[in-house]
Amino acid sequence: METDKKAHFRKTLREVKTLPTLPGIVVKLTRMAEDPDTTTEQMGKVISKDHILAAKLLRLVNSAFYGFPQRISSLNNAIILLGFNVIKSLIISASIFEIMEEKDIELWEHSLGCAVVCSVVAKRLGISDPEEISTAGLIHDIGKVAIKMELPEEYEQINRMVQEQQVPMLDAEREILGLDHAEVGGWLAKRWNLPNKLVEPITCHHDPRLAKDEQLSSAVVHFANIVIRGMGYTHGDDIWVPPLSQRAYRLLGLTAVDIDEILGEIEDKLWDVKGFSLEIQAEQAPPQDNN
Amino acid sequence: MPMQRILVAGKTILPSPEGKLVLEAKGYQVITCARLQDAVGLILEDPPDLLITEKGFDGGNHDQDLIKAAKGCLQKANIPIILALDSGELLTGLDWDHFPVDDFIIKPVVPEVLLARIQLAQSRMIRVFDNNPLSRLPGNTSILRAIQKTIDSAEPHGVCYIDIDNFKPYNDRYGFSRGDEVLLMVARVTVNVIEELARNGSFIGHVGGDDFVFIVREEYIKPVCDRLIANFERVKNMFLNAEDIKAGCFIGKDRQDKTTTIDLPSLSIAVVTTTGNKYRHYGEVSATASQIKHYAKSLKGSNYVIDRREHQ
Amino acid sequence: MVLAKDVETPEGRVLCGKGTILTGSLIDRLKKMEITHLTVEGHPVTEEGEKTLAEELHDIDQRFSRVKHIPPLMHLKKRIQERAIAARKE
Repeated sequence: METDKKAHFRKTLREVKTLPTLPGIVVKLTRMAEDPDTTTEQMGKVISKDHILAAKLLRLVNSAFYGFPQRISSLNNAIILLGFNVIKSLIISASIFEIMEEKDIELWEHSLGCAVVCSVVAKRLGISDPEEISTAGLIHDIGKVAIKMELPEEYEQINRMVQEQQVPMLDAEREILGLDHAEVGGWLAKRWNLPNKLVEPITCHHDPRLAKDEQLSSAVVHFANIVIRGMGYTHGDDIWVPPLSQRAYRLLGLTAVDIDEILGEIEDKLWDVKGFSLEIQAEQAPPQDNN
Repeated sequence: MPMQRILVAGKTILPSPEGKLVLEAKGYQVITCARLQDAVGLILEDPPDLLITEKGFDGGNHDQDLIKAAKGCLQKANIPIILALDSGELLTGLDWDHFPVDDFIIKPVVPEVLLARIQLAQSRMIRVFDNNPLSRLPGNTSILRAIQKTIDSAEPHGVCYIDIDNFKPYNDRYGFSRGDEVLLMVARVTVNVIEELARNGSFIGHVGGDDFVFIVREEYIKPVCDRLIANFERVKNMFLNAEDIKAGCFIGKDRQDKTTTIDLPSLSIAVVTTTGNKYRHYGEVSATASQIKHYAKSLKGSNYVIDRREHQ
Repeated sequence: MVLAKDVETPEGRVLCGKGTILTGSLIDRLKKMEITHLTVEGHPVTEEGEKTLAEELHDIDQRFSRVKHIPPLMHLKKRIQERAIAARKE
């Protein structure tokens, strides 16, 4: 891999401009924002189901001029600090996929599913702020969206390689770009001034050995990603459950009984995810205005 | 002086390139947006120094959405806003309460006139004095004026004084920078709670340091105080380290400069209700507040106290 | 989204035919009638009877085929498969 090419990819990815989300989410939130009875909390609940808007909110609240640089790692707290009007502005300015692919919905469901598993596991481990970890779980694959938006040709090549050669997406990314979506996600998070509590789990979700200060959170997100994929919430043609890090698993200290009970809890919550997904997909996309 | 950026929202304001050149010649950078989505996105991510919007921007009420976004912009409270109108609009009359702008200009816009309006608006902003430099909330003069207005009005209100308990030891331990963040956090949480629960007839000010004042109608006192304290308690852990959160306290120096165990920061809110002609001068309200505050601060954790009735 | 299969009541009455375009309000109405699953074109949602149990179990095997050497994951797989079997019995 020529260093020029890799450096070029890095530069392009670092300057990600738009991150679009599913039209249905924006339609739903727009309607909610226009209803005078909607509370910030209600909107927060819907936003907490969308990995793109969540990332945007976190980026906004952690930006240098808001006054809380690298401080806010939980979505609920971001919402408390930003308030209704700013959230409404965010929804107005949100961009949507004009051509929505099945893969986009798959990634959305996978991200939401991962957040759910993170929440269940974190609560089980008695972690004091489980919402922080589920926030990390929600946005852990943001790197994939960046690659799709900024390097669409390479994104196609990667997908084709996965399909034809039956290799994991991670390997295809490294082959074609010289870097992977976890790395990209970590850069973006750092560039957006997100706290390390989010940056590390994103960067390390495939290789938790890389984690330094956030070893436990990274282990949770790593494990949650594996579990949700095991339950069928995958993205694209890479259907294989990735390897579990022994060290991370030991850090979690889960027993077989824990796993059984966790699975039960997760299944219940995933019905909601599926139902919500159908609801969002059924929302009519807003009309395109051509000024 | 850094380049002043002007956001022009709408295509009918400066239809010809000459107009833009007149502004650029004076050192302004002019950015034009025709769509609401782009304009709001810009305000969120990279706020301009001044906004000019045409009435009827991007069809319908989007001019108001845009004005709200600019007003709600946190980094630059008080972005001057100029509204561009047709002269016909003035003849039919405009409800300025719906358009909280700083100035207007009649279309077709004469670029030199617009330039003068822009310069005046900016100079006026510098004269707006009284705002707290950290939180951008109104300061003492505005606060006293607001309290007097409340006393003089017939309707019952609550004048509420927020104080952050153990703020000084927190500042000593975590540093001034972190202390500033906490102040900003309290400001934001207060503004957002009131904006959501009690928008009408409310006022929020920042006296200085860790002292804030807000005024709401009587029926909103409890819901606002409850939600304010709840939200504060939820967010405050982001500003504490894991060790202190676990211990529920830290070692520091109290007001007598003695080393002792200090509780984590909490909020004390002293509420003075104004009904009928209980008070005639804002000084009287402040005096009552002092007594209540003293009591509120003696209670552990976050509390609000309304004229001697206790709430936790 | 377009329905790929008729939506029927438990008694077999057809509420919406295959090919109907799904709207938000339609889904609301179906929810009120306590319909909980539907199959749409292009977005495979596993409906009971849509995939056979054997197919579902095979899918799960496939998913875990590259981590056979990791005991906790094999345990996870076993449990997921057991749950898939139990779900069919309901």
